[in-house]
Amino acid sequence: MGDFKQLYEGQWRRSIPDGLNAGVSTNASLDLQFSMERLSASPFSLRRLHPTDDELPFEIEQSIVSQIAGEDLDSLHSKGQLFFVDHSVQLALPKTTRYSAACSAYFFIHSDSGSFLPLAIKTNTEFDLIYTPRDSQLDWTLAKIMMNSNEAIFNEAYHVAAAHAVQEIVHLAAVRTLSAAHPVLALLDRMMVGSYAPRPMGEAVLTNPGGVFDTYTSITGTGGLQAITLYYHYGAGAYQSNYFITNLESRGLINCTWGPPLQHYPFFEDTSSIYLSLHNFMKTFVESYYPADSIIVFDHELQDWIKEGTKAAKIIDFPDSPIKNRQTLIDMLTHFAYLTVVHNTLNGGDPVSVSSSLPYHPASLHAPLPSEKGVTDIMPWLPNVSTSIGEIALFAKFNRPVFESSSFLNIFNDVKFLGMSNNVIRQAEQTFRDEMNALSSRMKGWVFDADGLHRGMPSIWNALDPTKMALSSAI
Amino acid sequence: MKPLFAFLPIFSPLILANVAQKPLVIPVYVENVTERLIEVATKQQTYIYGAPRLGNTSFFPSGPMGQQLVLDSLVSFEEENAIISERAREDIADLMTIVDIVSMTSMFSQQGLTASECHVCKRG
Repeated sequence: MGDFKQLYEGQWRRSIPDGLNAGVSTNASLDLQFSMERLSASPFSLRRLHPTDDELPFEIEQSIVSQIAGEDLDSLHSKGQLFFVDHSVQLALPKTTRYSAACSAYFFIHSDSGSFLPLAIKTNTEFDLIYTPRDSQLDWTLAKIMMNSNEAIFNEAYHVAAAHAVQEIVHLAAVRTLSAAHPVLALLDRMMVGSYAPRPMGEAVLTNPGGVFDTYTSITGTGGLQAITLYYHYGAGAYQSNYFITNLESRGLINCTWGPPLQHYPFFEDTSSIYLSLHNFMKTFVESYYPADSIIVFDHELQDWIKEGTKAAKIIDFPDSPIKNRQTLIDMLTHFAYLTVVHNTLNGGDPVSVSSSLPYHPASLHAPLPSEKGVTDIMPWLPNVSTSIGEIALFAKFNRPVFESSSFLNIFNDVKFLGMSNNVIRQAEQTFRDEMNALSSRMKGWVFDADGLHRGMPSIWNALDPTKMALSSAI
Repeated sequence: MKPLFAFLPIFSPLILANVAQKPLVIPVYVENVTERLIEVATKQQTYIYGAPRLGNTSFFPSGPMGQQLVLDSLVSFEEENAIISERAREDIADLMTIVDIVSMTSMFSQQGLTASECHVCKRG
């Protein structure tokens, strides 16, 4: 497995100048890295199981659970310390000639250490094996690879449904109802720069016959389209219910009243900082153009946008028409900007530097899934040199490490937009940029602690550095 | 007789360019209401909800101005893509200098592939 390092070390200096995230190359095999990726680079599939509202999705031999967690499955469940990821839906998607499981997995908070750890992975395929950390190292490693491969499919499909498809329709409804001189449209225009390319480009090179899905993954291009459609209509496409805090609370990941808090949550921590700055900017923006809530009601263009969104544009879960206060608009605009953060978490530089890095995150498996445990070699399931280079190059092309003018730092810093804006907005933009620069400086100074961890992870996850993220979902 | 707004698409580039650089203002404070109404009415006819792309999700822009919106994005995408693709191509060329060593001396050799068979590397 270590030979894959040779495909990274000292390589990709132009297209991946920062290389893999610190620690990924050496620690990707660790259980803590595997589990904490659900709280950082791949944060949209995890939910906490409710003690009474959720039944246990599958059973595991209690003695095994006790050896791993120090208590049984029911105990973890009843205490709100049991978490679940479910990719079993991928079983129904059309397959290429390569292979994949359709894993579901348990994670848990350890009562003694407080660490967030993996408990079991169920393949849900013909032989439907359940793996745990008590299996042989090779069996358990293969199980984690199968799970990561499913997660990679989910990440790619989910980000299209949650970010691209939502931002575009919200913006298109605004274009049709707001004057170009309306401040809200000018703001949305800036945040959408270049953002209508990914869907047609995706059809041209990702899901087309012989495209990326057909070439690298276990799901055909048609299957990729089905996955995007499925995720969009079953949660990802909704507007208000995917607001940052609302979504994490609905999955029991923050502010949970029936289970302990997560000790470390890198995605939440970083996004909180960015979200607060975005919200502050939007508050200033909205209040500068609407000195009182009552004025919102009389802005017929704005109200037409809301009405258009809920009717003709068919935006899922868009606010009801009419909106009556500024707070609603502030939250709507903040969420629009936050969707770019969602995009950058799942796309941009993150796949190539961690969530699709090799050998632990292959796009597909290259041998039939084992019918029983006891594998003696994992290499048959992993991509060969040619395919490995192809996968790395593919994700390198999603990386945008060098275009500083289009970094998230400058999301509101545009000559045209600021030129049309008032002085209050220009000051707010400077404040936002200062805050993002400060956040970036802190991130660039991150190092491992004495235990070789950073925020509870054996790697340093910095995908949301505002100087590394793109300012729009243009990839 | 066609309503006045039916002819707006013909003049849409002129109408839309005229309002593009004015100070931002909400309609409550707009003096020339007619100009703004015509602009929005024009956009209603030139930015159309087209069929979804890349999955059956949300509508995708269509109509003459909607297609231009997409075209503008594609142009900027291609500009950035050309740069990053060239960098990746050069990186792959560098990687080729060690691929033979990797494939011959490591566990990769069990999979029976050498650099001469590496279609990605050939394609560059």
